[in-house]
Amino acid sequence: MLCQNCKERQATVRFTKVINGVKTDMHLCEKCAPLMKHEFPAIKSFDITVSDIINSFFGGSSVFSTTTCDSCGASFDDFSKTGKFGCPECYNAFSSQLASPLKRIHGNDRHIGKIPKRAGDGVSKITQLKNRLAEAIAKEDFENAATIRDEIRRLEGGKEQ
Amino acid sequence: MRWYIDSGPEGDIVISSRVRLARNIKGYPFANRLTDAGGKEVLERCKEAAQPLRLKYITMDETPAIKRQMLLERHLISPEMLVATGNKALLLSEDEQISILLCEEDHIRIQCMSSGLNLHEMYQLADKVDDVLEERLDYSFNPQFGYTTCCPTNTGTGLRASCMLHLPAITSTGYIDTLLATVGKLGMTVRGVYGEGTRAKGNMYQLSNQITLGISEQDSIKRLEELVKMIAEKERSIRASMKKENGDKLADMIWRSYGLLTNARLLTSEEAYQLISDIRLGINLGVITNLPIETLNELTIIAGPAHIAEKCVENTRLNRDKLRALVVREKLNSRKD
Ligand SMILES: [Zn+2]
Ligand SMILES: [Zn+2]
Repeated sequence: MLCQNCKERQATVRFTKVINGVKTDMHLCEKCAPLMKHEFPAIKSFDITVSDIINSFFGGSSVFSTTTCDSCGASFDDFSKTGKFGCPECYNAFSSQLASPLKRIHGNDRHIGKIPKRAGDGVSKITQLKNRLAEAIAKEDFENAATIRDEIRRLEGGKEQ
Repeated sequence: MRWYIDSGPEGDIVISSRVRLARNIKGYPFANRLTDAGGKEVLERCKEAAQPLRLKYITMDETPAIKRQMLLERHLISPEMLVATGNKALLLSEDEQISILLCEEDHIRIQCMSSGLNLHEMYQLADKVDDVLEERLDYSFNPQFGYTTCCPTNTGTGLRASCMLHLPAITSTGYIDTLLATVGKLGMTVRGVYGEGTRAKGNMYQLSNQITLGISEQDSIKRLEELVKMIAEKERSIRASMKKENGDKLADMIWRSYGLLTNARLLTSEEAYQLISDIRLGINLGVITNLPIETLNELTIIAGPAHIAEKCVENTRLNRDKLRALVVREKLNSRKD
């Protein structure tokens, strides 16, 4: 695509400007882009910032919550506003509200991978198996997944879900 | 040689690789909520736990702004550490390959860096550093959400792997837009290394994974590596066709840039990065043959704003640009036999 300003050189940059809710795209070349910068003060880059992500997933959340973390005093609303947790315990305090937004960010809501040696001791056998189950399903290793699922059922005392 | 000067595997396109692990210590709030006493305690405990690694301990409080900026230009600290106040510190290895940021956003951010495409090795190194620290520290870990971090975008493995890529051909043909739009769908992100917004100065981009929950460290790294190799192939093929179809023009552009860089009397960092990019392309295409790529890597560092400002006696913009031109000229001319 040719640059929309000089109509000579190849466009390499796309600027997006939103006026009264109407989005305008402009494709520019390297030479013209710096000149047009003031025209497009809000350059919408593909480099989405972390706060953009957080806001889109947590901010303006319709779920009003008064939950607070006993450990650091942060509320879920504090978290929604800043996108940052106050302390590691916040993950327990807000755990029921976290799974689905985390799933939207990461596509998953369960950790797979390294478990710390000592802190990991407290992680129950069942949780470890559940993590391995998620990993097996992600890898489409269904045979292994079935074995792990049976093991979880056995440990849970044959409770049916 | 330092990793940021050396040239490594796939070095014609992949400048460097980095693996970062985010960790926090149990029983303390995250860095943004630490009290002064709490912050000092966390720093002290981390310093102690890291003793077997024999790293240099540098507190940000006692580091002048210009020295911090120099650390940033060598990619050893994050932009957040640059402006940070309070209890923040850096643990740095002699060869500058391992740097641990303390109390940045998370209590601990282990970074291992190498030239070229070297992600697996860097993960192994970061993993080892992590094990050493865990010997004496109780990490905060949630059975479902993994390593808990201050920002939910890092929770899980806490792993951020990234590669710095030089993509002049992909940029000049506009293919970069497609790339920028596509990588997001693959759970990756791209940004310019120098400068802000969409334009990357010097055609340098940083490609990193974004997803940390529900994917193992090895898989994250494998996926990033595959994508880096695909992008590198694309860049190589566009470079080759540019050379084939427009060889004379390309050679002219490269030699003009070389002429400018070796003769200019005033150079902004932005112009220097752009000219270095052209010459880097020239070396990789065999247009320029008597200049090692390591010299360009060194130029990129020594021509950086803070590295120049630190040497500048009377620190004005004009003097800096003048000194930059001189430093660059001397470096390049000292190579001529
Ligand atoms: Zn134009
Ligand atoms: Zn908390």
